[in-house]
Amino acid sequence: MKRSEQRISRYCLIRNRKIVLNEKTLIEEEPGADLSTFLSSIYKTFRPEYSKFYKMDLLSKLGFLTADFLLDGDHVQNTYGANEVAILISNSQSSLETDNRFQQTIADRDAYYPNPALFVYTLPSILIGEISIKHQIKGESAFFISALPDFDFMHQYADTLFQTTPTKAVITGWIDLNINAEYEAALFLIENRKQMEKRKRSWTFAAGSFSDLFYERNLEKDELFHG
Amino acid sequence: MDELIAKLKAQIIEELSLEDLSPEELEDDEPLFGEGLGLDSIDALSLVVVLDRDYGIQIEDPEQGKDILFSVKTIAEYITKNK
Amino acid sequence: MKTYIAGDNMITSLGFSTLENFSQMKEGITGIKKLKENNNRVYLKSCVSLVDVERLDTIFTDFADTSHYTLLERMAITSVRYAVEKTDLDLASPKTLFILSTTKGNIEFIGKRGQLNSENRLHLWHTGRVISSFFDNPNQPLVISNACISGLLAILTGHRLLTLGRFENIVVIGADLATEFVVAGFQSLKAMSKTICKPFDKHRSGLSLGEGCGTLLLTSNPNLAADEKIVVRGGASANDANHISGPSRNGEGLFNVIEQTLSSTSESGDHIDVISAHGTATVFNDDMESIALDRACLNSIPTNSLKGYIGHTLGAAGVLESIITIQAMRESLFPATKGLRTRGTVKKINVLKTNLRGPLNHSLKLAAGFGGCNAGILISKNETF
Repeated sequence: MKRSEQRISRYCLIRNRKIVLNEKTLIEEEPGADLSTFLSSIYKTFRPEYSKFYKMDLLSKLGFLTADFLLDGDHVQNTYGANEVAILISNSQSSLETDNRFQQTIADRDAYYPNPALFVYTLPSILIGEISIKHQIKGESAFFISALPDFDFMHQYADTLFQTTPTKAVITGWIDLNINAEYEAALFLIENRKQMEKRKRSWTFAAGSFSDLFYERNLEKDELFHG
Repeated sequence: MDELIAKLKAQIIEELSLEDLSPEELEDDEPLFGEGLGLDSIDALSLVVVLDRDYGIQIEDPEQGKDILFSVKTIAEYITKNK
Repeated sequence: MKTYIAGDNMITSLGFSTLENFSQMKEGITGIKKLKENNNRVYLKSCVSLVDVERLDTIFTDFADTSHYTLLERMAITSVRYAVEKTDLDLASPKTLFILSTTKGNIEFIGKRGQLNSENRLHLWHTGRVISSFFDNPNQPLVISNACISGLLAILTGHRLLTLGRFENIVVIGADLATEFVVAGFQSLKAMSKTICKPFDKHRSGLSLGEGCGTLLLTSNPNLAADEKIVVRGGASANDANHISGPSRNGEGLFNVIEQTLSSTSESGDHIDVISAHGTATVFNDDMESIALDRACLNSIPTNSLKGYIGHTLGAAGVLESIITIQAMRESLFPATKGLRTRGTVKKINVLKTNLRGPLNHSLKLAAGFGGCNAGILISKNETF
């Protein structure tokens, strides 16, 4: 199997109060309300009700929402077996935003009430669990930490999964949030080209074009499969 | 008692992030776990922290915890009895 | 292309080398101790397995300045140094990649000010860089933080990168500390045992936390193989897609991991000699594992948990326990499950109460963690497949 067989069929970015889905800006808001309020209001407006959303920490909310836009329409669930979809996510801050909140519940010896609901989220990979539960994805997964997005590695590793495991689709990207609630989210769906031809996708991007899509640089898309 | 129940409902919604629920929708007798509101084990542990932190009530035995945390009413009764 | 072992080391409460750790386990000695309140390192009363920091620093001072490195970094650097002692593997080569597996890294510095606590020190990628740059490695280290399966994922990722020829050597490091942060967290989940943990026991009541660092040097170069006999064959990871903190009731993810580990390595379950389970000693985890092993028809295979010796070492667990499993294969002795008296899981499985002697050709190492994640790897003797 050659690298070029894999294509990016969908992507979603959430950054600067702006949500981009497959090159289209869905939402653009003036900076105002805090991130938690912003994400909750977007969720209430655009996505079907899912009460667990409100229980998530901020990192999970951010990643979960990005994935929910990315996987809208359930075509991944309908096309692939649960074990055939992999999730590879990375960021630079791990779960520090929640770590900090949990730390505050144990900082004072006289008011020492470690919070179990916060502690559970002091692992960045919980986000993968949240996405998996909602979309019933049961394949390979891993959470990587790097100072900056390392899309070359993510691409390489996704490629490895395509070649050596039952994986037929990979959700990959960068979901980052620091202790000041500054954030950046991008998820890409990589599928096999043949699969997309079957579905008569109108366009795709080469599976190496993460960086260009992430930084919203113009790039040429393939318009190969006009149905 | 009514005052305590109202306070508990607000606290449960806040602490357990039940943002899609209003205090009026939360019945006094409704089972919080299982068939009722469908809370899970982490929610139960969070309620144990609330009782300890805000009411000075410590629950060590999980079996006892099940009975106390059954509904808003059972929690309120237990607090009143043990204050 | 095969994944050989070029060297290994482990630092835990039981010692500073694989041999030292293994010989203690053979004797049934545990490193878990009941702490008194206000222990310098861990505030709360609990059963924890801690590394001897004084001994570590006596060693570390010989080659670097203790004050420049955090405890986790000193432990990892020392472990890597020991692991490469007897090999020609070039840590500074561009063909060598460092992979760090850790859940919380230097989390002990959160909310604290101090000499070592620059803003970056809390970042796991920074920890990876401190370690790899100590050995002048030119590559960006890979850092994996995936709850309690991090260690196995690090080995599996390393194996996959070697298989495709991306690198020639992989330095897999698993490291985590038993900090107040994690002890308080697991206590808030009521997941910690008041006594030393009892994996797979009828009366088990939770886990004991541990800390440590394991280094496993993987290489595709047969000339560097310290032990040409033992290889990492492959593995898999899978998600339960069920609950973020509760193990799956039907062992779904772990069952899938076992199936895919066997199919990806074209190995039959009948050939597995031993299983090193996750075995945290929480009621739900051990039951879940028994269900998964039962579903996979592996319920008669001799199985152990190593948590009763060194506690649950989180991001280090997969690496440390794989190293012990490798040593067990070298010595043809598979350690018993320390702390187990009366077997008691939902499904009956063959958990070992005494050491098992005899040749071990194929060993399965399993792990599971929060977020519903599960992982497994198969380790075999080279001439047997």
